[in-house]
Amino acid sequence: MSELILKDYSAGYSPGGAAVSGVSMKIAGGSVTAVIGPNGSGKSTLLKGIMSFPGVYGSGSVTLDSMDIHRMNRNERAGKIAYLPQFPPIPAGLTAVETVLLGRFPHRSAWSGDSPEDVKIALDALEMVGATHLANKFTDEISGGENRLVNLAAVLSQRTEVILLDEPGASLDYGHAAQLWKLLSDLAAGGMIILATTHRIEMSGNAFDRVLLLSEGKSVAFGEPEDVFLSGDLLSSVYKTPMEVRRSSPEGSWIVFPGEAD
Amino acid sequence: MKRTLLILVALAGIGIAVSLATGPLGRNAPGQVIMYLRLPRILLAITAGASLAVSGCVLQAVLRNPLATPYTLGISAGAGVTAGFIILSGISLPVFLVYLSGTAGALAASTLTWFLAGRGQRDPSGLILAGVTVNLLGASVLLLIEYMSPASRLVEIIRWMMGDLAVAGYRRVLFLLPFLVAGMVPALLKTGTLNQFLTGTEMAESRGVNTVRERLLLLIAAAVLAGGAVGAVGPIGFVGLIVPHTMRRLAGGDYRKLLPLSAIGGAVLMLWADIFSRVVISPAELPIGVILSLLGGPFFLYLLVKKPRL
Repeated sequence: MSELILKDYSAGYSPGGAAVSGVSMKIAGGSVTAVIGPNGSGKSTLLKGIMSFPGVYGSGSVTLDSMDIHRMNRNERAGKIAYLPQFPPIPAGLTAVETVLLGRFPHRSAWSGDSPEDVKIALDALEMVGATHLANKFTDEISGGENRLVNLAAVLSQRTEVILLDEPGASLDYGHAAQLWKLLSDLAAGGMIILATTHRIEMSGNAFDRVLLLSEGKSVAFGEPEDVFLSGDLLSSVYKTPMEVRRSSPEGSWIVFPGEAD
Repeated sequence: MKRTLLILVALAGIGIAVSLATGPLGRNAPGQVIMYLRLPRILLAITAGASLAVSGCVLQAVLRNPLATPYTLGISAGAGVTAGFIILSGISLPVFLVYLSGTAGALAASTLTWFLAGRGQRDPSGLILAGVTVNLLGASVLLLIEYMSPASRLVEIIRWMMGDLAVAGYRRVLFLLPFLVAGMVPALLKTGTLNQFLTGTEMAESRGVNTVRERLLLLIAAAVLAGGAVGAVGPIGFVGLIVPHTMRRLAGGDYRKLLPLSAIGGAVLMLWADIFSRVVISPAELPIGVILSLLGGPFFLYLLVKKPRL
């Protein structure tokens, strides 16, 4: 099973200027890890650093199955790690299925057509996110939340071992958010590594296996959700507001009460 | 796509036939007029139109801006300055060098745009802002040149800026051909990459696209196509805007279809605009740039109101 390891990893937008630093964690395949923290704590930068995007400078190490992912060539990395940004541009002029097919790019040449297998994978991905009905609709004619599902399907069609998602639940309603986190949980159960930033702990049910808590660009805690959420007033001090986090049942969903003293 | 392609091929065929048959013969033998005046003019319209349309189509994806045109990178301003300077100075250059000077100015301006924008490391919007700056600078220098020019040369400069397809022989077509090939081949080979640019830099990178390198390559291809066309026919506007948007409406936004269709569409538009330019005030000619500007203005308005697909 895959294993993603970050050792003393830092990332920022100028050489030596880290927006997030000192992150160390080991994530095994088959788990969903949530990256949480206040706005500006470095959640998105961490994902962008792992992806080695242009203009993002990283230090420390990130390995996938003992291979330094920053030494992989782009295509090799694209075959192993997929990424969904917070606000991807809507690729207008394309239908949903055409948009999903863009995720097959690392698996074929830059100008070749879509094979029947590519189309099948794309349609399967749309089905997985519950968006089959959108297949032939233009992406600039569907809602923001529906586009979110289509983009998620595009990421799934890339067929990678690791998926990094930046706020995947943003702009999704309760039903679709629950469906999304259930899907991520199911994918992880199949052996994948899912690393997702989120501001909405309560929208994710009990999908997280691990939680990384960031504050002001530093890693404050990493561990099982119980250890992070129920660790005294850790969340209250990080979010600078009284917070109470409970579970609906011993194995149930997480519920957050911001602004309430414990 | 097949229907659109059939319509375009039909329009091209009819356009070529009409263009061959249109215009005064004077005292020349019809065969000579067709062979050395009308046929090279048709070929020039086709090659320049395809170049400008593909250049605009590429830039709209790479810059992620539906209003991007070949001139967004400062190409017309650069070409205008060099052409204006040569006309003002009265230097007598071999004809190939005259064409080449316009192209050199165009490519120099787009290079300046690239460096002003931080060599494409940042968001594509930086390139658009740098292009606007270079266009303004070029327009100011051209104004100065026009102010300093005697009346006869001023008219010549203004006439050059309106574009011109009047041609005797195949020199201009031969001049444009290497630029067409050098720009069109990488653009056609990179249609899948252009599709990736539609989803933004980060998604494209995550799928294995080296966005900095590919953006530079595609910008060079677009600049070479537009620079060659401007050197050969002058800064004819709007082809690079109208054609990709129309094709996108007709055949969708997949660049593997859109780019080849835009090449054919650009050729067809230029061919028919040239025919109109010859018949509207016949036996005199209206500059093709005027015809296309008259089409382009309302089309810009349509873009603003309808917000068509990128």
